[in-house]
Amino acid sequence: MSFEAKINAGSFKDSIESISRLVDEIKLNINQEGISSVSADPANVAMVMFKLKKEGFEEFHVDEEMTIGFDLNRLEDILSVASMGDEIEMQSEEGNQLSIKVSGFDYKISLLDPSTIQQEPKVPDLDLPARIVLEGNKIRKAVRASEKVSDYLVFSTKDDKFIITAEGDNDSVKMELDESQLINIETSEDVRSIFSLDYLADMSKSIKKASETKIRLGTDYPVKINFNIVDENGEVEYLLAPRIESESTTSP
Amino acid sequence: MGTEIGDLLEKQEIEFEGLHGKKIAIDAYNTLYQFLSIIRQPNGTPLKDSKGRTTSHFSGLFYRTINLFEKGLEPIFVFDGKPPELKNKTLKERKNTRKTAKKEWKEAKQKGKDKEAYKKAIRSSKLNKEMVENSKQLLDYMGVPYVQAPSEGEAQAAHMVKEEDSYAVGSQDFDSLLFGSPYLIKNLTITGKRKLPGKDRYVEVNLERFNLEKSLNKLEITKEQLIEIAILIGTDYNEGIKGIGPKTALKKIKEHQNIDTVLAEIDESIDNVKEIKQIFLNPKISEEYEIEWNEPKNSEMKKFLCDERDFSENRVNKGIKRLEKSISDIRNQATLDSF
Repeated sequence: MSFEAKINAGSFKDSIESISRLVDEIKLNINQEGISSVSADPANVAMVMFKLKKEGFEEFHVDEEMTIGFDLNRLEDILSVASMGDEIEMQSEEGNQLSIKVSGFDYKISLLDPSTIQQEPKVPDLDLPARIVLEGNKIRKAVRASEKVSDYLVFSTKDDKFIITAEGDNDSVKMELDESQLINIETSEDVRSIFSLDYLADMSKSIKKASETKIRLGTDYPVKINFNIVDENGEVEYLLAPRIESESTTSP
Repeated sequence: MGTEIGDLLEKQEIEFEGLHGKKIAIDAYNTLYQFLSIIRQPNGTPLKDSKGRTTSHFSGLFYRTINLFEKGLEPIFVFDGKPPELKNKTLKERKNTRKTAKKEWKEAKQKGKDKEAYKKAIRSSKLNKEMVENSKQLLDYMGVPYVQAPSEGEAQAAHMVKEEDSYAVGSQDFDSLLFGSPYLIKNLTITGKRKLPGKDRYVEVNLERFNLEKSLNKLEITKEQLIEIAILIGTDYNEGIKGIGPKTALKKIKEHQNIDTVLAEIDESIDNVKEIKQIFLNPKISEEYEIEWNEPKNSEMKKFLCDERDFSENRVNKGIKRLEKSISDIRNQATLDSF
C-alpha cells in the first residue's frame, strides 16, 4: 500500500480548510480516481462531503485503495509555512505515517488510526424544492451582515427572489436578490428555513472563494451548499440542519 | 465513596461537542457534594447568605448547570432515596469523618492555617434534607427535570440510561456501571483547570467516558464478575479484603471464576455477599418516573437566589439570559440524523 502525490500548496490549503471549518479529524479515502471524505461535526448538525479528482494534482499515484486518518489542525500547521505558489509532495507507505515535503522542509507526521475517528455519517436523502445559484461572495456578505444583529439567519424564496433575513432583539437586516443578481433560481414553491450563524460563518469563509455556489433549500429542512474548488477538479458539499422554531419560543 | 474500580475500566477522554443534544442522568447527591466541597473560600468557608446559610450548592447548581446547557447537553438530576440497610455502616463512618473534619477545620481556621483549613473543610461538607429540598425547588424554577429514586440514585440513573431516556450517567463514582449503565461520564461539572486537593498544583481535568461493554470485553469478565471484583475491593455495602486492590481482585476472579471460590482460597469472608450482589444486579428502582422539560421561571429564580439568598442580581440576570439562550439553542437546533 503506497500513496504519492504532488499538488499546489494553495489548492491543498483550500481543500483542507473547507473541511477543517467543521471537523478536526477525518478519514480520507484514496483511490485511483482521487481523494474523498465524508464527515460530520461532532454534534451532527453539519456535514461536509469533499472530493478532489486526481486531475487536481500535478502527480498522483496510488497502488491500491486506502483510507488514512488525519488530524487537520496538524496539517494546517504544516501548510502555514508554505506560500501559495509552492508545491507540496506527499508520500505514505502502509498508511501510518505521512511525509510531506514543503518549501524545503521535510515533515513526517504520524497518521491516526482510522478506526478511532468518528464513523462516516449517514448522508440524508433530501428532496429540496428550491435551487439557487449565486456568487459565493454574496453569501459571505449576507452572513457577515446577519452576524451583526443575530445568531441566526433565515434563507427563503418568494416568487423567484432569494431572501436572506436576520432579526435580533432590536435590529434586523434583510437582503433581497432577484434574478438579475443571481446566476440562476428555480423554485417549485416558496421555502423558508432558519440556520445557525455559528456554522454558516465558518462555512462561508470557504464558500466566498467560489465564483458559483449552488444552494438547495426547503422549508424547515437542511440546506445543501455545493461549490467547486481547485478549478473544476474538486467539489465541496456542505449540509446544515435547520433550527426549528418551537411554539414556546419567539421567532428570531 | 463508591468503588475503586476505575483503573480497570475502559475510558476515553472526550469533548463536550460529542455530547451535544444528549440527555445525561446526573447523580444529584454526588454533584451537590462536589459543589459543597469545592465552592469555598481559600480558608474553607463556604458561600453564605446574610442569614449564615450555606449557598455553595445553589451557586453550583445554577451556574454550572447553565454551563452544561451552553455546552449543548441536557441534564436530568436523579436524587437518592432511602439507602439500602447494608449502607448504614458506611453512612455512619462518613458522618464521623465529617464531624472530625469539621472540628479540625475550625481549629485550623482559628489558627489562621488556611491551607490546612481548606483541606479539612472540603471533607466536612454535609448535605441536609432542607438543602436537598431547596435544590429541587431551584431546579424546578430553572426548568430542569429531576427524578426521585426510591433507593440509590445511581441505580435509578443507570436504569434511565438502559431505558434510553438518557445517554449516560454523570457521576464521579463508578457504581452506576455496576448497576448496569452502558456509559458513565466523569468530570461533567468540574472540567478545566482544577487545584489538586491539598497541593498547590493545578491539573487539567477533562471529560471522561467509561464504557461498560468495552470494559467487560477488555477484561474478559462478565458484569457479575465485575461486581464481585468490586465487593472484594470494598463497596458502600461492605469493607473489602485488606491487601486486595483492583488488580489483584481481577486476577483472582479470573483465576477462580467467582467470589466464593476466591474467598475460600484466601481463607477470608465477607458478610452478605449474596445480598450485596443483589443490590447491584436487581436494585430498587422506579419505572414510574416522568422527565418533564419546562420553561424557566425567571421571577421565581430571582426571588429564590437574589431576594432570599443574597445572590448578585446582575449576575443572576446574566445567568438567566444564558440559560434561556442555551436551552433554545439545544431544543431548536435540528440534527442531520432526523432527516
